[in-house]
Amino acid sequence: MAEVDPERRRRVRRTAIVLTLIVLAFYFGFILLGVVRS
Amino acid sequence: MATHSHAHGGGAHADTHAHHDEKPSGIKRWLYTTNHKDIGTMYLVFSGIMFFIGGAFAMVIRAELFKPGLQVVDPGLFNEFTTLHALIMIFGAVMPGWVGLANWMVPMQVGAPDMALPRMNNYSFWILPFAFTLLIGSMFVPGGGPAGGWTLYPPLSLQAGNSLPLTIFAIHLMGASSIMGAINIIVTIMNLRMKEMSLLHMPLFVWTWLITAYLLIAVMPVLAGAVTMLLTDHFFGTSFFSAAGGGDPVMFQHIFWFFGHPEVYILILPAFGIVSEVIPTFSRKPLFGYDAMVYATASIAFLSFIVWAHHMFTVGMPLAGQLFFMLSTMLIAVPTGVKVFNWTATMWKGSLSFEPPMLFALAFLFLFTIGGFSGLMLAIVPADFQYHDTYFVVAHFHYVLVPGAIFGIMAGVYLWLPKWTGHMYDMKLATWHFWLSAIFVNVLFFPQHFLGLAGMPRRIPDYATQFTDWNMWSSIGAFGFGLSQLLFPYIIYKCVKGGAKASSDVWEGAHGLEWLLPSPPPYHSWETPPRVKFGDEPGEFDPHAAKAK
Repeated sequence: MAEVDPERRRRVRRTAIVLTLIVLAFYFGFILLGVVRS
Repeated sequence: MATHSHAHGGGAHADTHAHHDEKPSGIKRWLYTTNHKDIGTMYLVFSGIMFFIGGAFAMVIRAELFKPGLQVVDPGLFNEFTTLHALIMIFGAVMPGWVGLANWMVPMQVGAPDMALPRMNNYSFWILPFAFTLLIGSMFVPGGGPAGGWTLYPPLSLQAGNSLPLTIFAIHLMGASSIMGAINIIVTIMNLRMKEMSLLHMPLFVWTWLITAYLLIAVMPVLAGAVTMLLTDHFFGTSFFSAAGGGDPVMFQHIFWFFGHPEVYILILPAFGIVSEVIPTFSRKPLFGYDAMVYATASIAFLSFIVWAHHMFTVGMPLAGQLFFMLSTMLIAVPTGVKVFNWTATMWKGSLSFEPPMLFALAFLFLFTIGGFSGLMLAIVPADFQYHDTYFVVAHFHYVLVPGAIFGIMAGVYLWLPKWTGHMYDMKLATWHFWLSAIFVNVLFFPQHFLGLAGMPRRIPDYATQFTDWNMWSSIGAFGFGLSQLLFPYIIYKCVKGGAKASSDVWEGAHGLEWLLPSPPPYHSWETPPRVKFGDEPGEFDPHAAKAK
């Protein structure tokens, strides 16, 4: 297997982290909405 | 039927990859695998098992509804079966089916060696058997399984017995699995795609999956949030949805459908991708309006976020709200119409042949459109007041999901099965599978329109006698459809075991990078990205020219 380009590795990690943050924002955001509305 | 076995191409790649084809053996291969093809296979097998379990529940439901009165199951168990049938089919059969196809095909179609996060890929699959063991196991705890419908509306769902926390935990696990799968697919497409392939060179299956993955990222956490709040309402004394404590049960419906409507598109968009692969292949023509197809898919995904309350017109909302959700829902018909037009235009003056993938894609085109039309009827607020909670709704979403999503998966499996196994499958048997499925699916679901229009409510085990005849037809259709599905695993098993050798491009009109690989592809494919030149036009890619290079 060829060496993985470090720049590509960084981009993979960065994309995954950004997407995870979006997931967490939606999860806690909607629970916060519930707290505010109830 | 001029179809398969065009011998040119693929051989050079086979030689290059042959020495990389060692794979671990035994159970460890499947437990620890990080290979996208192995994981894709496991997803597809899991999806098939869930399809038959969910289908068995449907058979019991239709047996009970064969005639009025209670004869097969008691009403409580009937409610559990309707709830679990939906949860299993949506989260266990259709979604893992799509993830399986994505695992197999996305890396091969974008010229990537594997998924970008292979270890997480393994985790996201292996979560699923635990989730569904919990879900199905919840039927055996005191008080029985979840019986309030897959929508889990409070306060009804909060009255469940000990099954509630199990169901909620199972939904969290399924959600985590889907989110990990979606992250993996986005990261793979955005970062591991071969350099020469611009976004507008990607195959439509990759495009539709990319958009689906973004939908998953946005809405699965919303479902997780909703069920978390249900859990705390039940066990920790909060009052998110309890009116007695100052909460609002209607808020659950808003949050649920903010997830639920995009979920419908999560189930159907990859089918649009498959049909966009199959119709050009068997019309021997490029897809008509590639870029319009991409924009239409993106538009449908965007609109899916602003239509959720059409599921709850009868709960009461201001006139402005009714008008907004009615009109935004109707707007979805525009990009969907673009797609149906483009698929039809692709076939226009094409050299058509009707192998099983094409048959399933054509049935999709006709029958999904019927489901789309009944969806438009349901979008009209005053009409929806009549149709709501009747069998008309059941007919509508089953037309979208069975000859829509499920036929889409079947078209995909029949398109790529020779590529995966290296063997051609039994065309005659697969054609039988198609015709039996296409006939029985209509016998099963079309009468449900009449039942709904006549006022038969959904989710009941017994009904008034005037609904008897069409219920009998529907049940006969269900048993026929269920039995004919047994052909599917048999055809796949037979194909895995042997059959005529498949060439690398399998179908005469095949296009796309996956057809440059030998059939079956090596265990590790595209370790070096393929050397392919793309055309200037969106979507333009000529595999024959590429091979000649």
